[in-house]
Amino acid sequence: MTRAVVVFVLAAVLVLSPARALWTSPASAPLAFVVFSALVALGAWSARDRER
Amino acid sequence: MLALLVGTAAWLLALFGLARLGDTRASFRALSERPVVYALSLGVYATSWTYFGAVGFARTSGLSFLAVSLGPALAALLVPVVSLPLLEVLRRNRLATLADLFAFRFRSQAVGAMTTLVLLVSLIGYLAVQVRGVATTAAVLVPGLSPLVSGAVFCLAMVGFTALFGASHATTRERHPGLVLAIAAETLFKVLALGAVGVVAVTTVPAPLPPLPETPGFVSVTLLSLVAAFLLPRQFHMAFTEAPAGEAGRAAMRSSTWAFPLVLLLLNLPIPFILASGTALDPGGNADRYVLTVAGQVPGLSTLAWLGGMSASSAMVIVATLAMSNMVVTHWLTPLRAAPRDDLYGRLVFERRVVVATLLALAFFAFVALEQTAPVTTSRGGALAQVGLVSFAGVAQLLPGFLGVFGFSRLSRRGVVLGLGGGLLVWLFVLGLPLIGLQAVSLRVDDGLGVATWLSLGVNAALAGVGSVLWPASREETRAAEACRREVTDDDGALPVDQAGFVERLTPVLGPASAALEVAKARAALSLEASDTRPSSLRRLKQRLEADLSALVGPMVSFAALNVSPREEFTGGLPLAERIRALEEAVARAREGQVESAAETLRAWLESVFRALPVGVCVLGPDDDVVWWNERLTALTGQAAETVRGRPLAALPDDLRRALSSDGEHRLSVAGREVPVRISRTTNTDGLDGARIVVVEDLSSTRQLEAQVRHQDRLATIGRFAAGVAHEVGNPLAAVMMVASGMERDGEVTPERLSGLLDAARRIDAIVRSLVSFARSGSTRSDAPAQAVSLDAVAHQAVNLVRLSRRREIALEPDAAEAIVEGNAAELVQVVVNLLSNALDATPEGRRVAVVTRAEERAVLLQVIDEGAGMAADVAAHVFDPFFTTKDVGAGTGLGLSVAWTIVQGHGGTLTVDSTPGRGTTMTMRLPRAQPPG
Repeated sequence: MTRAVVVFVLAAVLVLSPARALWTSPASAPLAFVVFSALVALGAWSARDRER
Repeated sequence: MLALLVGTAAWLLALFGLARLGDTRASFRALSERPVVYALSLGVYATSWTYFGAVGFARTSGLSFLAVSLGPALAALLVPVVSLPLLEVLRRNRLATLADLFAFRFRSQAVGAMTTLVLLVSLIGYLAVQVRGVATTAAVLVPGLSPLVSGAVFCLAMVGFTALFGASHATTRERHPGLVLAIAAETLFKVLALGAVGVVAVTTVPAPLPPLPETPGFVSVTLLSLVAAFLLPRQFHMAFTEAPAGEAGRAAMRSSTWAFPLVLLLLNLPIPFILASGTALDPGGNADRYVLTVAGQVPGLSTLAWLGGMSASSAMVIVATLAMSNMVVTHWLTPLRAAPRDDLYGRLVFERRVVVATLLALAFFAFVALEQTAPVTTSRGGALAQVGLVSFAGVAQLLPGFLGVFGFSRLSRRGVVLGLGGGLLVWLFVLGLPLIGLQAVSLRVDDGLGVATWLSLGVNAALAGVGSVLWPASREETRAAEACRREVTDDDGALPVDQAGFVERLTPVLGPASAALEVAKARAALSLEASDTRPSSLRRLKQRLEADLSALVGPMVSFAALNVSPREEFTGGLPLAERIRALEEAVARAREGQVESAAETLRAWLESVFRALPVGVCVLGPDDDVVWWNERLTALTGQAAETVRGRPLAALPDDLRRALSSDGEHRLSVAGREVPVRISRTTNTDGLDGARIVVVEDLSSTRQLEAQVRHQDRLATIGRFAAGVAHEVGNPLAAVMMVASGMERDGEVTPERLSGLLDAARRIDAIVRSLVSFARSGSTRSDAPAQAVSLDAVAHQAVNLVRLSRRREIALEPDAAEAIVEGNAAELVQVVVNLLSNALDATPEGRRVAVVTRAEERAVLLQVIDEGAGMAADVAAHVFDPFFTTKDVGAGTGLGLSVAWTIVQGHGGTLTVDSTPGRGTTMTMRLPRAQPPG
């Protein structure tokens, strides 16, 4: 549960904070997919948490 | 045209076949429960908007097209925090839809109906977009094909599939494995088809990505999509209602944390490449059609690409209409219509199918309206996404109520209805009506989606707050809010005094005969007796009735019928008798061979285990009523299980109540005799719903065995005394013989001689008496009544006995003449004899051995002190263990100190050892001091 909350906060900051300008600019399409892949990886890490 | 027809027919046949196999074959059913299938089935999120429309959305809004998928990816990360707890709430209360959840949470039929309305209004446009996506793209492949005709055919096919494989059960909680497999297959197909078009875009028409516009509203779109991932009826249905049962469902849900975002990522990867190639091929065309434009570069791929889009649309339409039909029937039709005369089970299925057909008819007409107000031919793309986002904003109106499921217990039903009404009106005027050309407010969606969404949500939340302050949450609502966080049991105040009370409660709604019949059926399902009035049984009966009906007619109908004021909820004389009876029959049929019967089997098996246990076991409920009472406990206490179960602990006999209330050893009065028992109560009640297990162990045979051991130990002691006794008796006997011989020889009997004879005889008598007393006290009875005993006297008697066999100096230092204890004097003598024997064995000649008594305020002490060899700590730790001895073989049994310890424990005292190697040992017996009479 703790890991899931940490993962969500990390992901939310990555996607929603003003820092998103780094990868949502019109020329940053490839970087946007890297960020999306990072969300998948974070999800996989969260799913491996045994302490729930 | 032919290729399209054949391809469509083949795809539909494959879909129907897969769904049929999923419903009929166990292996396919098992496949439908795999985590990968679950994750793919969640791909129902990606509709024709994602498939065709994402390209157009990317052209008009830049990378915002990705935000539509990033929202659900973020939502997937909340699975452990939101989805898994919500799954438990839904399963525990047998809730199937969002409207069920809201109606349950706010204990209001009105909230359920309002939720259904909001979702319906929000989704009609979205459904229309799916029809549009299929129909207009078919017209691209087959020039001259009327979108109206292809749209109508698509709607008819969807009605057929949903009716056959979706709306086919009376209970809304029923899982549809065939449907799950079909939706998962459609997701896989659209991923592969879109991937194939992406590959063509890269290999056949490689082109640079055109300049993308800025991404205004990126955060709004992401947040809207995040909320929609929980609140869209199709997502809710696939994620929760169709989740595999038990742990498999939880495991699949945990896997979806990454698997579902991966599906979305794969669906989005080809979009930039298709946009680039499509722009190169048709710079001025409608970007929503670029998927087909690019696919057209490879013969045959167009049909495949179109089928992928149709898969995306059909999956959404099937699941959304199924979920909506459940809500409409449960929350609109059931509370309004009278009970049908025929089989209600079939009637419910029929009604759901009619609702599905009606919804698709509405979607078709909305599609026609959209075509007239905003023809696809005039668009450059983004139209599909526009309608989809407006729909998301409508669905998001449920957010305040949804948060109320996880907290905000003060949120009231009237507040939620007020908020939903206000939010829906704002949404309609600002976003909904402009879609069909009725511009009431001048907010352009492209620029103002975020503003409009937050405006409608703000009005919604404000009205919900104001409404909750003006009309606070009732006790029932607060209790329902609590039930969403943890499992709660009814308090006894909500229960009738007997089963007839349920009949009375149901009679105003069902009529007397049917009410009695319903209660009888539930009673039979739980194997309860009609006369069973225990609170636990009544609670189970009520929960059974409520849960069964909840899955069929919604939580409010079942709750209102079973709990409070059914007349108020069902004014207008709505007889539900026939309906509910038919529903119960349907439940009984559905139950056969399924999970519940397995649960019943397991329960019966556990019951047998309880019955067969050789110790008494009872289970006390959270309110200290007796929930369970096994047969051994009946034999032990004389209290029959039938009379005790369900009664409060306070109603039991005093000694039994006291015994069951605390751990330790107690004595129970059973049929005029005392039974020693040991009580052990569970200290950890996790997972027991507040219940406590009490184990009652009969100590009668243990006590008898201990008494026998003590007796044997006494006899062994007497045996050891034999030589000393012979010596002690021999001396006075010799004196008697010598005096008697002198009297015989002289013929002279003097007072001195007679006195000498009597002295010697008295001494022999004293020795024999003390020995006989010690031996006779060793009866095997362990329950001899306690007497007032002086430890000083005990010490004297023990020292005298030991001196019979040991010609050793034993210092006696009594200092407790006024202090007495309660107990058995002979047993206490035996303790001191055993302690002294050991002390003498361990102490060389010339070293001190003493017996000391001392009185304290609440206890009396007797110490046996020696200056012998002493013991190491590891030896001292075991001196009271049975058969533990450091003496040579044959020199000791190892029972002496064990017996002593048992006797002292039986007197409520303690026996401790304090020893230092080389310096000696002190054994201390501490017994509670007897209270003076009065």
